[in-house]
Amino acid sequence: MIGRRHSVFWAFVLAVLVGLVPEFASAAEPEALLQPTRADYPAIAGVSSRTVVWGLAQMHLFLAAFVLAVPLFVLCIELAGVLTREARYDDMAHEFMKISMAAYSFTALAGGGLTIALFLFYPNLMDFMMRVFRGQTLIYAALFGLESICLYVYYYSWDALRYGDRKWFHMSIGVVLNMVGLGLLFIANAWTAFMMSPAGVDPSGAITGTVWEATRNPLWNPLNLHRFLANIAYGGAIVGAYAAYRFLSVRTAAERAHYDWMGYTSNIIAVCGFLPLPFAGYWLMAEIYSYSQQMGITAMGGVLAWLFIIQAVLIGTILLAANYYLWCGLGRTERGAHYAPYVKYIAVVLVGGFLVWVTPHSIILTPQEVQMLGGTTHKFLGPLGIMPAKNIAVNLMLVFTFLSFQMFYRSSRTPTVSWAKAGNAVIVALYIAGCLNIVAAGIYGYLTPTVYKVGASVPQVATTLSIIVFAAAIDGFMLRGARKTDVHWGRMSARSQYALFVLPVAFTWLMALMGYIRSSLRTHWHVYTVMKDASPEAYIPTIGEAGNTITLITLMFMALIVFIFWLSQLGATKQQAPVAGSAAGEAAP
Amino acid sequence: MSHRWVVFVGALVIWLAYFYVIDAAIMEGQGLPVAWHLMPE
Repeated sequence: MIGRRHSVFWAFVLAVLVGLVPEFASAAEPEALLQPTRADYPAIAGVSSRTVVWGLAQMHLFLAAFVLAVPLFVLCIELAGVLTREARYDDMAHEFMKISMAAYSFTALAGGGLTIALFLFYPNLMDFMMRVFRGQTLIYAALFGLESICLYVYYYSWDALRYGDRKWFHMSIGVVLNMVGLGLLFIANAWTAFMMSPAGVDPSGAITGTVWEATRNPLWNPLNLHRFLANIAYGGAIVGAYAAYRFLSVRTAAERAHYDWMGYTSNIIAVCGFLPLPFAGYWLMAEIYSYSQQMGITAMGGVLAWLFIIQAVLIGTILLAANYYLWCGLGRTERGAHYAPYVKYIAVVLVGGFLVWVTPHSIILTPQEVQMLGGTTHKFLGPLGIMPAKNIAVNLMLVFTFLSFQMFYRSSRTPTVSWAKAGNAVIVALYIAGCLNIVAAGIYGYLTPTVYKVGASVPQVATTLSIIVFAAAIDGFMLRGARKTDVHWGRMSARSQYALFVLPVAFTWLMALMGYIRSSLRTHWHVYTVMKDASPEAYIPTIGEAGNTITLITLMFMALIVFIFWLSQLGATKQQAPVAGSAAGEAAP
Repeated sequence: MSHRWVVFVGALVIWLAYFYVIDAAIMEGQGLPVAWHLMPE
């Protein structure tokens, strides 16, 4: 009975903290928010408050995205090791965690710095946020503590809980770690999304709802999905760069084989996270439009629209690099040469899609140029600048990226089923029909009224996903009992590894760019339409200023990543015991 | 026409029909029925 009473009490406390029930104070008449004035923002001579917070927030996000993503796919790789009973999976998963551990303390450092900077430079905003989210901030702090405990236990118990039932116990710790990590991600997303699409408050800023209502604001779930997928892709890209770094620095063939396989796996993780990402981004943007057309137009129709061209360049770079790495991988297998002739066709599609994506709809022209063109848009290039053409381009690029992966996967397997030729014919027909449908839906969207332009993009997404799912399923059945040939891990050129370096650089830059866009959508509001930003820097930074800032942040983060890689390598280096007559031993890996 | 080509053509027709059906269903689900009269002449 006592235990039951305790349970009820703690459930009530938890419900109050989570915000499922309003606090007692909330029962009183809600008070309107007192809008801040310029005097409410402490100024430190020579310090740009916004740039400091911007830099710290972005660094924290990079690191947090990495350390939250790695345990997710590490757990999957650990499970693969148990199911296949191959120790190499377990070793690789452990090594991935080692890199993540080195980054963890920097994540906490950047998070602590960000918190101090926010309370220092934006005290009124933080006061408001604290009053809106109340006990949830304590839950966040508790989850952060729990995350640290789980992470350390998960990593340091790896060898102690390696076999038999103990392994399952170890993986259970991994499950808890990931659940806590996702909890942290979703709570942080709620705060960010609340600033864009506030809920649980009225237009005067009076708190009228529960914490849960503020959490479940219109952009929360689109942001959750988008960041979850982006984190997976980003984590994969960073550990891929680590594998490339090690591949280029190790001496023995066995080590090269190990790090080549690690790089390949990382690239697959990055691609798997990346393939559905444009669709999640599309959903997020559609919800932004749905919440506030003004906000949507600020993003896609105003000065920020130009940045989506840079976004296209960076995403095109990521896809080209990921594909190039996969094409180089065909050299690892004997049957790879059989598929090599098809690479040039995939390259044509990727480059063509890339060019369509970077084509702007309208460009800055002199009066003479407008006369020569006969308008502000080019007769042929103009249509390529709007969404239907870009949707065709991105979907085809994703389909052909999957094809590159499928070719490599097949290059070490020869099907033995009697219906292999028919199966191949069905897969080829699937690709052709799917690509025709993507193009046709794009043309239909282009020719019909505006609402159809948006609507027609959904069947395109469904087509791309259908191609991936059906092609993988047919391949799965067809390659059952296939004759496998050796994959010569380590038989990769050095230049292929630079593609793995390109991925995290482009991803980091892209995330910084999109972070600037997302944050700028609030224009001169801290909390959109509720709390005004009265600070001297309450304006959207110019593209030039933003470009310099995000590039500097990207460079700083990449320098930190190189340091983390070096630390990870240093941790595996053992100095040999000095021999008699020698002053000091030499370092040995 | 070999067996493989028959399968290919048959599969192509089936896949095209499949994509048309899901296109129409998705568009109608959004309240945007596929209507050819919306296309310019």
